[in-house]
Amino acid sequence: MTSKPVLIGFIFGSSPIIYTDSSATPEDLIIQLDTAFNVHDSDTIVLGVRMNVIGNLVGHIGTKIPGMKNHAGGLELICRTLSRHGLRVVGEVACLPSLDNPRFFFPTRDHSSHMMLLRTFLLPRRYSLGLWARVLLRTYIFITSMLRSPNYLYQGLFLQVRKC
Amino acid sequence: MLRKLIPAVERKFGWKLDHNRYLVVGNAFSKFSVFLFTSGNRPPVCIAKAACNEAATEKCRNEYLVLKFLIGSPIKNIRSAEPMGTLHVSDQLFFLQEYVESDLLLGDLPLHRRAFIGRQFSIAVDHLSQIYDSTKKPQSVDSRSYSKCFQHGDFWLGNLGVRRNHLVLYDLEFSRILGTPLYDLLHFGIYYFRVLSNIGTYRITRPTTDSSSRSTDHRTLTLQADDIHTVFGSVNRYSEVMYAAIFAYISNCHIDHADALSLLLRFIGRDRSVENLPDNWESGIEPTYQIWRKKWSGS
Repeated sequence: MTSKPVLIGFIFGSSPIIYTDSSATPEDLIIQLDTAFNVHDSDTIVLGVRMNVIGNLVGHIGTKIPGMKNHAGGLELICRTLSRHGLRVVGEVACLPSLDNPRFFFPTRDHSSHMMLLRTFLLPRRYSLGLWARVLLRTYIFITSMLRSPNYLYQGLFLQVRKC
Repeated sequence: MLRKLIPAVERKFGWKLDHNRYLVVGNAFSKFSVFLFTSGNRPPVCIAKAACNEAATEKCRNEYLVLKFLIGSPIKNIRSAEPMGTLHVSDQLFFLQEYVESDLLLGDLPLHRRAFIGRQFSIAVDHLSQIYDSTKKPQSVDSRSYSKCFQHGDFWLGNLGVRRNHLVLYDLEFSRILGTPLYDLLHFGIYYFRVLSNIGTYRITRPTTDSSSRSTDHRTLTLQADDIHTVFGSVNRYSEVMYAAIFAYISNCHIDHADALSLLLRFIGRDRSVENLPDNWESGIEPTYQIWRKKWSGS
């Protein structure tokens, strides 16, 4: 089983398209992403990718089973697909709470900043969540604290992609 | 930009920062904060605040100046971040400040709107009375019973933390060194109610490609006329706690009732931009004030 990422927009590059329903304006988002990513040049574009968390998780487990490596989903699948088209992922930033309303940005490979974000920022703000969202947040924090690199759990990713 | 910001901070302070670790937080009013870390699983050492436009830069600058003021004139049991200088990186101005870890008061908020905690109002009153005593100017305003004093400007649960019996103040961009008393307590009370009204409004929805139905955030962040009516203009359990806090505060600060009522009316009518405020909004406030005044002075 593989995840089905949805490419939702180009942020930098020749055709910038951003969301209309985010609390941040497109200009704000560009500056925040520009800060998060180190390099921004004409050969680079940034893609916003909405991930299928369940699919990613199953895909991740799939990679642990002998002979299932090629069934891996999520970020690995995107990287492989892009490389077949002469593109290379040079930067990855995860965002929370969602790709449509991004407010927090952190490196996908850094577990500690992710945990700090969950415990310091999101947990005290759980009052605004509905019942299922509260249960999900608690479950998410529990699972995340048990894992060393939970980068397949992210729902929203921004990828910096460059021509090879 | 981060590739340049981290070495610039390292050069300024002689630190060794973790280049692969950061957190960028988009704040309200086109500002953002970058949290910087040293190696190891430690809290951030520094926050670099920046803005996306000139108006937001002014807010960041104001916060920085207020932080300098608070370091120069410390208030008992009140803590804020230490300002650590400014940096220009790739045409972007960053205001650096210390990261202060605390338990956010927002985390104590009840999960049901009918079960709000009056204890948090007592904490607010105690600390705001302390702030008034420590920062009030010697001369009173136009022969009234109060003086100008430090005003946080956005004193609500999300900007307040507790650390070792100290109240930690965050987000001081709306602060005024010469503000008015009572403003912060009224702001605290009205936004406490707004936060209670937003309990459970952030929902999970199925991802969709239709941008019009994509948002999961259904909170109302601006003040409504109904909020003013419930908190200040009608007799109910919430207004009882609010007015008890007001009376405790003015008693601690030796402000008389006529001045307190005029500050309350000014807060609603002039200082806050309330949506759909009816023309006769004042008519409900004064009777409610007097009802609770009679009750609290009689008990």
